[in-house]
Amino acid sequence: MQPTNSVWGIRIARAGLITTTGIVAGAAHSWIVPVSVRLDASPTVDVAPAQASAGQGVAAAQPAPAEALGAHITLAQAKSLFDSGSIFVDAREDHERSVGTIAGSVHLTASMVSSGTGADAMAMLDPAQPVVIYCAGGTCDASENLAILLRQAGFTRLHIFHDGFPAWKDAGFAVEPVAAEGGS
Amino acid sequence: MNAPVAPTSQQPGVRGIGWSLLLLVARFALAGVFLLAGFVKLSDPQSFAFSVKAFKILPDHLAILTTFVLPWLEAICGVLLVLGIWTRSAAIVASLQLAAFIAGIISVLARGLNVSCGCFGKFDLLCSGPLSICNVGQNSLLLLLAIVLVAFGSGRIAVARD
Repeated sequence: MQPTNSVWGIRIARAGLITTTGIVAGAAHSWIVPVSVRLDASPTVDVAPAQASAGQGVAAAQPAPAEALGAHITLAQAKSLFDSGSIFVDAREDHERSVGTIAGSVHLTASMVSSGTGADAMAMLDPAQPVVIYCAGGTCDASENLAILLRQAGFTRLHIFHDGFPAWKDAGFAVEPVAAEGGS
Repeated sequence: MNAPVAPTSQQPGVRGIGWSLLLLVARFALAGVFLLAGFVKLSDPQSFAFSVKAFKILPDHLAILTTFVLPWLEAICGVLLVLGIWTRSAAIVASLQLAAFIAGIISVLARGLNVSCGCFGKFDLLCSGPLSICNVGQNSLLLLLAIVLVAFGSGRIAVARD
């Protein structure tokens, strides 16, 4: 028997033991602490407030009045909700927000909710009112992640503005700079 | 002639105290990173679950399992490396993890996904912002450290030398 081989055999066996321990601990932990990575399918329905905002012009595409809104909404639907005073939530990370934010929106990210640092921002939201969440559009997951956590927190009227900030800005709708220390 | 075979100083791992100190520094550096990474992830598993999901590699149930298994492995390796117990074995596991991270990051970059690194939660080590080639470099550096420890072991300053 080659001693070197057996020594390395033991080392590799120990590595296997370490890995197994990690898997068992992780599996047990995942059983105790629930986390979710998908928005559940329960419907989010708000009647689009297009009638209320009738004279204010999204000239291009007004949603049909009384259209039921799903979890994901379009630019026009988002504008209607904006005009009717719904709260907008900016789910982007700080480094993405330097290009500005939708006027009047509250900054709240999924990690702020899960770490507890978003308590103040969450207190500004009413779980019974429509909340429009947006991020940087395209493939950004931030809105959906936040929606998962807000739904767990009891929010039922959540909408994800799918195309997000870039579409809003391109459409020429109200934006504002993100306040930074020393900002003008 | 008849001198006793190979003085032990020829063998890696049993060299001078300076070499042992170097290995200790390498152990502490790698362990520090792994303990920080493990602790941050375990203290906010939901955030890390979103990070794993963002890589779009694993199906949901595996992503959730990975959310917990990875930081536990990191923490266990970190503790073993600090103490110098089963150093080479812990370093083997750490190497495999780092290799997996590197592969995952390269896959994200190749697919052009805009993903924040879940590596250390809110903390940045060498890289900040979305995942980039910087993170590949950072992990390669750590992988190099881990491989050094696999090759040379704990050095003399260890609870159980290996």
